[in-house]
Amino acid sequence: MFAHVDINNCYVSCETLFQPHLKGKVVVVLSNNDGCVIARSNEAKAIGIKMADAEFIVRKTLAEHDAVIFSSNYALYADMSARMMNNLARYTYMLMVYSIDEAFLALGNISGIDLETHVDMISRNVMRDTGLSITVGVGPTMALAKLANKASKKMKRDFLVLDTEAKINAAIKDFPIEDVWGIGRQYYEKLKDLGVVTAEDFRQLKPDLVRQQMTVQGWRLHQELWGIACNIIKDVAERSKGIESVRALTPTRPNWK
Amino acid sequence: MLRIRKQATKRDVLGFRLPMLTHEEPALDISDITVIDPDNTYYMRMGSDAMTGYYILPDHILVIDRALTPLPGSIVVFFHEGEFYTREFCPENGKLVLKGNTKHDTLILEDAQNWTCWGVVTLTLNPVIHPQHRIGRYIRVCAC
Repeated sequence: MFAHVDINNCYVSCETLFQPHLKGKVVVVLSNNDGCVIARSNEAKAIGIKMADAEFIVRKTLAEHDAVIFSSNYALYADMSARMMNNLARYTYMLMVYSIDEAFLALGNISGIDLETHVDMISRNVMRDTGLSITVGVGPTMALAKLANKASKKMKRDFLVLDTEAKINAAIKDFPIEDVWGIGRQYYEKLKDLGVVTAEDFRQLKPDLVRQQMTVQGWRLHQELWGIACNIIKDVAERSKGIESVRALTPTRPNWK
Repeated sequence: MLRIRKQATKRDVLGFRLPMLTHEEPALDISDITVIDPDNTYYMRMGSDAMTGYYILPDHILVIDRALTPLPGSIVVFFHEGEFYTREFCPENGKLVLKGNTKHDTLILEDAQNWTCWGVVTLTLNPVIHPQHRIGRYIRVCAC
């Protein structure tokens, strides 16, 4: 069994941990050069601030709601992330740090353990020790664990365990295909033409068709949704390459909070 | 702050190894006995004189462990409406009493709903350096 752990509103949570009076307020964290909104508190999500909205577009909305705006402080986030990962590592024999706020844990197949209570214990202990709230999704494969995590966020729960066939089927039935791990815009368009709307629809496709249309990655995802593990948990996640365009000079804004 | 420690030099020994090298030990590190759980330890600076009776004066450094659950008698850091409070944790039947130095500093909470325990103080650092010594690199003693 795998667990996927994700820090809720990671950058905002790190900032509010040391200024708890900001809890319950509209808080956003901006990217480098204060360009885009990259983290939003639940309250900011509620007033319709979208991920990666440019700051100058939402400036008025933020001011209207008396929002607290932070520039990003990566030293803090990296330190909190390391503390989180070290805490998570206490509950598993294999931890894969997938990104700054996400990790996969191998839970093994321990018989006689109730996963619900075990995951509840992990989640409550880690939240108390680090002060950051997390969501945990558990499933027999990494794709299903990630799906469980997303589903539990939608249900506003702290964790969701998909350990039986029935639970998996129930979770997958109405799960939108575009939220599945590895389905980007291109595949989403392609699948829409095939009439695939939910993860269940995707699962009902023939494996050969998936293999032909979506390369081996799509086929692996298909297998994983059926509970056949294809991705293995590794100590170090392979870094994908990135490209960045930044301004060299930026005006200072002294009157910011 | 960056502190450079002298590293034990690795050398390719030809012939016999110096027998004394087997007795080399890592240098003593004060954090072995002060910071037990580094992943969940945070530091804060005392800002009020509410705890002078507990020998915690303003500007002392508090070492706070979040992984511990407070017991009656623990020194705790509580958070309430924008402020942190360092007090002694004394739960009494139904009420939460956060004892301070004087009656004035003691908080008696009938309803502790909006009070959250931020962590348990395990250790305080009391800088006793003479003010006239606080020059040059000694400015750093317990400074942030």
